[in-house]
Amino acid sequence: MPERSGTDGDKPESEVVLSCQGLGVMEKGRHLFRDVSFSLGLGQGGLVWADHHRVARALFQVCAGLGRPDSGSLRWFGGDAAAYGEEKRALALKGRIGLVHRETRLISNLTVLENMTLSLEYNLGLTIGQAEERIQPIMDCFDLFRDRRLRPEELSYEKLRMALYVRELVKHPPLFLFEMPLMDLGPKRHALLLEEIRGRADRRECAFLISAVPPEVGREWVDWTIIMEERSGRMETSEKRPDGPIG
Amino acid sequence: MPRAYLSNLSGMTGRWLLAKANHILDTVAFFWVCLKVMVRFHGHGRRLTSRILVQQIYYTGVQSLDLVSLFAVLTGAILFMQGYEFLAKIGSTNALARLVIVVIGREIAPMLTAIIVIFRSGSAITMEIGYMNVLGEIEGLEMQGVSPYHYLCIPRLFGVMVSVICLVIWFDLAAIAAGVVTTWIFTDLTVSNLIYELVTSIRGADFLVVLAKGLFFGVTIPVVCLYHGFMAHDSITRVPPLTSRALVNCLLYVVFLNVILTVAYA
Repeated sequence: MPERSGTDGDKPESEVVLSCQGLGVMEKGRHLFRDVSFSLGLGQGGLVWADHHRVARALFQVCAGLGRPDSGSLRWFGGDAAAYGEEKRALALKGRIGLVHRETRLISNLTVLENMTLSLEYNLGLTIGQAEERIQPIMDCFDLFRDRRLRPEELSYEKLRMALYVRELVKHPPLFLFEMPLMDLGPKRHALLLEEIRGRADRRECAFLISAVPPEVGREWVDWTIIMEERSGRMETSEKRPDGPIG
Repeated sequence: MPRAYLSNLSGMTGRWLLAKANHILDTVAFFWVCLKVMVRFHGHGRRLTSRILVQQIYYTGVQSLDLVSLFAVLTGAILFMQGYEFLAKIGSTNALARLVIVVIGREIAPMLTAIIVIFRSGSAITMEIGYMNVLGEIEGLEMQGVSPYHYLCIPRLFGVMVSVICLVIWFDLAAIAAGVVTTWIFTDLTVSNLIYELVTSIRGADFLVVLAKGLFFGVTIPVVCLYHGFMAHDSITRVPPLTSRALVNCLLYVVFLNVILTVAYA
């Protein structure tokens, strides 16, 4: 059973971006993890450390609505899975979550810019010009603006992975789920990315959950850590950021 | 022993038929899902889907024009010449116009156009969707709040449909034009008479058959190819066999539909 510490129970329900209760996922008849419970409130950041790389990814995929847990329940923005059962609502929910895991890819037959503006064009009805204007500062910040006309296969590995994170950043989702960004980006760009999402979280625009190995590398950015050992979750509150998970 | 063999044979035939029926029903269900998504997501990303629609018409329609034109010119020239020679022997050259309208206009043009589109665009569609599915790009689309069926299927479906109808009409025009020129060069028929006979022998049903075949083939090809593309989700090695199966199934369905439509308008 996960331990909880530093709870902050007086926060209103609407501020809870994601909450999991007794979550469990199985793969090939074995538990990847079980009995994981936590709540992520607006403005909070959490770190997941797992003893197997599949565990954090499976947790993030379930939290992004890309699969169903084998046990337990999830709530996004106050609504449970049944509230997002209808196709249009399920898609709208996914559009509000910025997920990047180790196997996430850009759409290969679109340019970097088209990948970035896809969500804005489709959901907000912007023209590609309007969308480009809107995302230019963030693309500039992550040094991708010059490469915007290139196709994904023309980018270096580091730029390609960076583009994935920027694609999620430009959506301005209220929830980010990033699997091991340090491995993708290197320390400098990793710090830039986490500064950006930490800044947004501090402005109460979003909440985020990242995974890191070892957990020490991400602790300075987050409020609490879930240690997932022996296929179950144990929760620790970060020393640097004393706000714990919402109870 | 023979009884057991017959029993086995009937069992195998039954299973094969059931599997085929199941496959056809799945494809029809996929088409139904596409139509439902089209209604449900009406107005979403209109500019984006219009752009893909135009691209699809360009890839399927415009880029196939040279190949379709070549086939049309050769087929038209050959059929006019062969038809003239055969009809001259039996003294019925005045039936040439009606013969070519029926043979080229109603049968050869839709079938050859469909075959060209199946091999050029059908294979590309199955491969593209298959690889997108296996590589997790479809998941990426969903995470952008984009409906994969709406974004990927609807523009391709309409793009191929419009292209096939236009290409069939273009095939007819090019084949008849090439046939008239060939007849003018190599035979003693008067061109003005031949054109007059061609115009007067066209019936309303001919237009209907051409449009119906263009429409049905134009819907069948993208639906079958998209369906097979979405079936590839295990590994990348599944994509080539599924592409090959999609092309074979497309051909079978198109031939089958051709027979039904020909009989219906006979």
